[in-house]
Amino acid sequence: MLYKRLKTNYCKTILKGITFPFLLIVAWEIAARLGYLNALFLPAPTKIWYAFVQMVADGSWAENLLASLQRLAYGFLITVCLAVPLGLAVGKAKNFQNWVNPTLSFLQQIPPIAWIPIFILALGIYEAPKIAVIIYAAFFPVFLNTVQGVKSVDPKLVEVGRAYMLSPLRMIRQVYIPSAYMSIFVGLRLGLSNCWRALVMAEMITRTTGIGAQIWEGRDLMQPDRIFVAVFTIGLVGLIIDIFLKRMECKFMPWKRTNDGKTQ
Amino acid sequence: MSNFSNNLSYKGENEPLIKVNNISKTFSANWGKVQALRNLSFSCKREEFVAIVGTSGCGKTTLLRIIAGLDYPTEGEVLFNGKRVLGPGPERAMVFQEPRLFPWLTVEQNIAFGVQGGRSKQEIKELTARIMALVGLEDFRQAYPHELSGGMAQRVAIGRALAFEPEALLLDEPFSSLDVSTRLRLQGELLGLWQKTGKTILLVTHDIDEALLLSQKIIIMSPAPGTVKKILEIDLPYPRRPDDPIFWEKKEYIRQNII
Repeated sequence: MLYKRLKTNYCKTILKGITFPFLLIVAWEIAARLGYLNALFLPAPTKIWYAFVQMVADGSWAENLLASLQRLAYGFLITVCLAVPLGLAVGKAKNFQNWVNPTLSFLQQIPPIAWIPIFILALGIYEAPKIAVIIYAAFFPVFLNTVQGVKSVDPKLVEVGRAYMLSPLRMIRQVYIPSAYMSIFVGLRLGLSNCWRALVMAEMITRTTGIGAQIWEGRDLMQPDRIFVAVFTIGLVGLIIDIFLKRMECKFMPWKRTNDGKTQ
Repeated sequence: MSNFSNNLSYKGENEPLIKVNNISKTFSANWGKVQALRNLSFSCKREEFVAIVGTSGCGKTTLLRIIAGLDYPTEGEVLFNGKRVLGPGPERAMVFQEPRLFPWLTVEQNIAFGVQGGRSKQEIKELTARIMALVGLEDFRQAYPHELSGGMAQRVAIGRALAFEPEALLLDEPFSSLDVSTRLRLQGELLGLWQKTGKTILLVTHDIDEALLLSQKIIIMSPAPGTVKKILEIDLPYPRRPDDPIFWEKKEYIRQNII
């Protein structure tokens, strides 16, 4: 009974969420058919759809998407392996923050795209500079949120760990990391969406393969419908990744799954 | 069996398990120094149930933390089993005023948290199961702390301390935030646990009734700076009744000495 209600609620939420885009597309289609829009840069949604079908058929859509996703996966994994342990260490060290904070704040102000030319000069135009950009884009949110998570550990729980004679390793694994989960997850979500955006920019500039390269190719060949396919793909994939991460969050943190969100 | 227990208590049954030797504790705040404890001494025998009573702010929690090894005395020393306490140890488990459970662990996992290192998975499971039965939590194995009532949560905290398998349990006003009926029930359960397990128990409380209902010895502390005012042996049989005239007499005596 409750499950059924939850399910219908869920469907309702989805339905509400897609109403607005749906209306917008219908309006766009009508405007395009009536000739109010310049087909050179605003092709009709049906035309975009045909371009999409064609791109799926000739394999270019999947090829570019996979190229981008692969880079995203590598870059993001490397970032997580670097930023989380480093964040844990820095969060635990008391005075370390004072040493690195100004530098971090400085670096944080520089958008990843500003580094792309340097990365290209140093690393060429193939995979390396793109992955470097991704790492740069995701590092700060993941690192800073991990530090914040460790800093906000309840000292009373740390004391419990001390009273129960936890080894330093167990203390980190069983007290610090679970306490910081929430914050780390926020960092991961932010980092991943930063990654995705930075990757598209990197691909647009280096122009080899990937969704970003496809956009630029569409411009070169005057194919606005293909550009729109790529742009919408970016948005949709980003959305799916975020939904997926939110799901993971619920799976990893069953104690947060309650309605009121209160913790002990 | 007798051989085994003889080995354990080679110092003799009458040697105190916990000996607090003339300890003082001064805290330095940014506005000056505060003496929390001054020249405080008492001892506690093996398997004895001792209560420390005093008004709030008399330093009884500080005293317990020093015995637990979570804090250090400025002067003096605490001996446990003849050895000087220099930090937390495997023979002492602390139950805090708040349950302090880990919100990301289930009841079962929270209790297993107390199990000391070097045990196999099977041993941990058995020990945890035994303790959950002991504190009456079998039906809540998979529950998370936020799904428990205050009394339940404190039971888990006591279970975690028992899973540590200490010689002595140190309890810091464990029932002070519970409602009256839950408190009475848990007091009864604690008494039962003590009789079943034979642990040495040191209970800090500001509730005179609680101390009189449970303990064999009451240490009355006076505040500012905290020091031992009187030590009272209670040789009433269990279960004790608050309407017993001797109970009343002792209660009156403590009330007069506590300030």
